[in-house]
Formats: sequence, C-alpha cells, structure tokens
Amino acid sequence: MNTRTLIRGGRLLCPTTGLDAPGTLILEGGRITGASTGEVEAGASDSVLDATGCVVAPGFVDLHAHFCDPGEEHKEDLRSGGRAAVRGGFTTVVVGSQTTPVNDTRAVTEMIVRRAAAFEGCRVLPMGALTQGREGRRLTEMYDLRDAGAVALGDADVTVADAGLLRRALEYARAVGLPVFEQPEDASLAGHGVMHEGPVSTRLGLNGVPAVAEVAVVVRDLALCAATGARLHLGPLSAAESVAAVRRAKADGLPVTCAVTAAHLHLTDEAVAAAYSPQLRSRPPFRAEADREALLAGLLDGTVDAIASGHRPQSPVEKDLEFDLAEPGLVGLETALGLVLRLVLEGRVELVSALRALTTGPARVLGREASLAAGRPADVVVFDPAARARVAGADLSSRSRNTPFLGQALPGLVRFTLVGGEVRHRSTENVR
Amino acid sequence: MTQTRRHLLELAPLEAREITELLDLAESFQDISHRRIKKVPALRGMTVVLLFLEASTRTRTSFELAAKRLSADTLSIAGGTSSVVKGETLLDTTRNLAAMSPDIIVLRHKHSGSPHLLARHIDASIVNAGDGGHEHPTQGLLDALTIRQHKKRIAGLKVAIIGDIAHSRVARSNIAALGKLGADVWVCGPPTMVPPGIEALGCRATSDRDTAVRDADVVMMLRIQKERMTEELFPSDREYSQRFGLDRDVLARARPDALVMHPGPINRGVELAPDVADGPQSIILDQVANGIAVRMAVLYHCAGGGGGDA
Repeated sequence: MNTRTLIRGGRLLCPTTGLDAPGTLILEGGRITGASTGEVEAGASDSVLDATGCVVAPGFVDLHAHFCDPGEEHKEDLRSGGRAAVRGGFTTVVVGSQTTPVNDTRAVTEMIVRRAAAFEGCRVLPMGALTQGREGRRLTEMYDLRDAGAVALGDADVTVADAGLLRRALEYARAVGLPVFEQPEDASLAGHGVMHEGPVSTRLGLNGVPAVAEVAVVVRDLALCAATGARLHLGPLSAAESVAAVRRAKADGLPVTCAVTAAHLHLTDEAVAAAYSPQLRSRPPFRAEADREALLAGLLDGTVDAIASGHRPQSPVEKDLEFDLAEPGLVGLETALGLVLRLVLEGRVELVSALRALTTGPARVLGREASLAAGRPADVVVFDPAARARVAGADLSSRSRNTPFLGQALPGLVRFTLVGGEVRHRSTENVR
Repeated sequence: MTQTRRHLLELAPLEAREITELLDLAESFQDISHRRIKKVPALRGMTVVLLFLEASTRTRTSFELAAKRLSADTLSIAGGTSSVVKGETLLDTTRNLAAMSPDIIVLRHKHSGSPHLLARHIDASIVNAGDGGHEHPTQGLLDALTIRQHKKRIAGLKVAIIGDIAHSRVARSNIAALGKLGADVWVCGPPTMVPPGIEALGCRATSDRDTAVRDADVVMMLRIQKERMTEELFPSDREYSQRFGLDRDVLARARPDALVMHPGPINRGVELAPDVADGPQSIILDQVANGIAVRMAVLYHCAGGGGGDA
C-alpha cells in the first residue's frame, strides 16, 4: 500500500529550488511528490508530521566526517555515526578513507556500504583512498572503488606530498568521473606544530602550524587542477589566504570547490589559550580571528561551497593528555546545525545561505542534488530554529564526547530527520 | 576542590605587586641558607612531591633543598624511574601520587601546559618547574631577584635576552617578570628562533645582536640546544657563536657595569665565551644561590603562607 507522509505547518525552505514558503511537503514511496502552500487533507492512511514553528529543508550533506569503522570502533562505528548524523539533521555523510584497513580497495568500500545499509541512520557514502594505504606512492584502483560505491577519492587527512603523483591521480580520476578531495597541509611546513602559529602559540610555548603549511598546498593543487582539468575539492580549509586562492581560481573558471567546518567558523587560537584544553586541538588548527573572518566572507560570497561537520571522534584515551600528545579532532555532526544557526542569530549570515552550504553546495560537490523538488528522494530535515538545547555528553548519539561545546546552549533542535521517506530521527526533547 | 589551592603555573598573569611580594618573601628566606642550622619549621608535616619527568639537576636539587630547609617531607620522582616510561599517562601517575595526599606537586615536563592539566584534575598545589617551551616561573623570579639585588632596582633597566627565544621557557618567564617590573626587555636571536608575536608578551625583538646589547644593563644568554641544528634553525655552532654569542668585545658595547646571566647549563664557547662566563660581570652563580630562596618562597606561598594570591 502506498502510504503518504505529510509534513505540515512548517516553513518549506529549499536553497536549490528557491522555494521559501509556509506549506505542506508531501512524501510518497520514499520520494517527494509535491509541496503545497494550501490545505492538504490527510487521508486515513496518511502519517502526518507536525512541523509547526519549524523549517523544513533538504537533509544536510556532510563532506568531511570520520566514522572510524572499520578500525577504531571504540570511538565510533557505522551505527553510532549514522545515528549522530540524523540527530544532527544530516541525511548523507561522506566518510573518510582513513579507516583501518584503509579504504583503498573495492572490498573495504563494499563492506562499508553493505554494513551501513543495515543501520537506520544516514546514507553513508564512502570516500575511497587516492593512493594505496594513503601512503602517497601508488594510485588506487579508482574505477573499482567507484563501482563499489565510492563517491570521492582522497587520502582524507593526509596530503599527497608528491606533486607528480598527484598530477597523475587527478588525470586518472578525471576519467573515473569522481572528484578528488584533498585536505591541504604540507607536512614539512607543519613540522611538530599542534596549533595555529602566531602570537598565541608563542605565548603558550606550543609549536605552531603556520598558515602557509595549508596555503602552499592549496596553491600547488590549484595549479594542478588547472593543468589537468580534474574536479578538485579542498578542505576543510582554515586559512584566509587559502580562501583567497580558491576565490581567484573560481574566477578563472577552475573546477574547484572547498569546505570549512562549522567549528572553524566560531573558534580561534585564542580559545586554546584558556587552559590548553586538548578538546581544542584540531586539524586543521583553529586559526586567527582574521582567518575566521575570511572563512565567513568566503561563505557569504560563495567561495566556500560547503560547511562540513569535520566529525572526528576521539576517546578519552586520546584526549586526556598533555595538549601536544593529544590527538586532534572533535565530534561535529550533532553541533553543526546549532553552530550555523548561531551565526544566523548573530546576523553574520542569512538562513538560506547557511542552509545552502549544508545542502545544495556539498551535494553539488558530489555531482548530486539536494532539494525539495518533486521526484527527489525524501531526504528531509525538520528543525525548530527557535529552540535551544544544551550540548550534553549523555545526550550525544555519537560514541565519543570530544567537543569543546559541551555545556553550551546552541540554537536549533532537529525535530525530524527523514531518509528516503523514513523517519530516522524524531526528537523526544521538548525544549523551547 | 582545586580552586582553593594556590598554584604557580606561570608568571604571565601575575601583577607586578604579586611578583614583588614573592621576591620580598624570597629575600626574607635568604639568610636561612647562611646559618649553621639551615632549617625552619614552616612546612613541617607537609609533603612535597618533586615530579621531574624531564632531565634536570639544578632545578630539582634546588627545589629539594628549598623544601627540606622548610622542613617539608620530600619525595623525588625522576623521569627514568616513573611509571610514565611504562606507558602510564601523566594524569594516572599524578592521580596515584595525589591519592597519597601530597600538599604540593612540583612538575617539570617537556609538554607545555602540563601543569595546567594537573591543576584542573589533581587536588594539590601545582608548582611549574618548567613546562616545554612555555614558562619556568621560578627561574624568572630568581633572575629578577638576582638583578634586583645587584642593581637595587629593575624598572628602567635595559635587559637583553639572547638565544633561542622560540623554544625558551626561561625567556617567557623573564619577559613576564622583568617586563611587569618595568624593565626594557629586548629579545634577540636569528629570525628562526624569534617567534611571531613575541612583542605582545612585553618586549622588543631584534636579530641584530649589537642593537640588543648596546647600553644594556643586563645581558642574559640562553643555552643553545644542538638538536635545533637538525631542525635547520641555524647552520653551525661557529656562525651562531660569531653572530649571536657573547664575548668580551661584544660585552664592551653594553654598559660598563652590565651584568652577565645564564640559566645554565652553559655551552662554553658557543653562546658564552669562557672568560665572560667566569669574568667579574658574571652573576651566574648568584642566580643558582638565589634559586633556593625563591623556591622556598614559592613553596611557602603555595602552602598557604604569606599574603595575597599569586
């Protein structure tokens, strides 16, 4: 029997189609079948979701997350990661290739796809490694990875140091038809750095990662992008000069995209100074206020295509340590929307632009579409932008708790997340 | 629980008044070391743990003598003998120590911010005896005390600190202490060793040795660590010595009564010429002697004695 789902009473907001009106979204057979601004009578067999006071938008797409599965399941696995995603409003998540074993073969990609499908979380799209073992020496079997379900190729948090190899990888990937993801950081320039290099690292006596460690790779990669014509995605970016370089490249017509994380739009190196908290150790590092401003400006003018969660779970074993011994990373799936809405409340960005960077932008990086148009898969998020919820470790669906935002009240509460028309998350919280 | 404890983690946040009080307190302890019975009962019944996870002779023995002259019970744990080498984390090691109820833990560790980590998690007073490239507060205090005793003031003096500023905790603590007390502090080294934004700590920076030394009242040389050569921070001992070392000719550009200081251990012939190190202007051994009085003052203060909150 074909049951319909009606999402009623909300503000339908789709950055892809430009729809922005109160109304009812109609879902049927796992797809969106229509949107109505008038009254829609519910039939006896219809299920109705009350979206009063809420925004109804395409489900969020995350380009930079790590589910640690296989390999570090004590931090996160495909089930917990998928739950954290839908709790945060994400319906599609690209999971990094930095698994153990590395996702550099068809077998690993297939396993991730198959196992993820068994859990009722988000859609999990694997990133296949660009080089074998992410060692930067030999290319992976990219066609095979693509056919197994990989949607992007990249060595996740390792930069390909060998420019000659990266050139070949870009050429090859162009024919495979997948974008190449690169997180830019020159290892020799980063050295033993553990935070942004600047006056704050000087004050704290911690080794710094200079901004040029990122910028030098961005500039090199853009030159290779121009030379090969391959689709290149850079991120997460942290430095002002990186954004400026991408802006120029886009103006030149290069097929380049980039992303920043929601946390990098809020935090700077000054936060580290408070108490050397290892929760603030991140890769790329949180940089200076001028860098944060530049990331925001890039978001506003469209240079930055996507806001990512940067989800990188770590257990206390990796975090309850001296700052420079702690592993970098923070969980981000369940705080991304709140952080983005905080920017909206601060008047730094329009709601529709913010949502574009969570939906339209990242989907396009993958050559996909995130929209509320009829015929599209019913991947939908319903959130109350006026509700505020405190970030509490016990409430997180992620298996890890490594976030510097614990205890903070963030705006926005995801009421429902639907993947393929199925309700995968329903808020039981009643906070206003 | 930890809020009620007095720590000494760094000098940077202290006010000039608090630093002066600690120096005055140190001066009042100074004569104890010159008595026949070098002991007062100020910390009798208290336990001081000296947790030195990085090699140190001078600072550890200085703290140990300071604690003993105050009649505290001391327990000394060095890097090689601790569980940290067996893979135990710093927090676990110190939690175990804390379970034995020490009053003060003195920590030397190669990781910046580690005393702050302990202060957050451990119920004991934490004294920083040097954390990575961050601070070495008791060194900053003893240097300030030594200068004050020789010059009768600190305000208005020109102090040149020369060496690897980027990796020096001694430099940071001295900039904090001397800067707050009104000295005109200059730091100097090759650009690879002068970190960005150092001026924000309250000093001026130059890579020209003559600019730093000219008319200086105090020239403080820092130990140059040979392992920095492998990081390509400088090409050779020879060139370093010629361009950034201190010999008699260079010292002649400072004021005639300029003081020469060094936190030790010295690389003789690299950053400091032997005749300058042993010359009449050198007060290097006074620094060592003052170390005990300063550490007595810090331990006494952290144990709850004296006034104010540092």
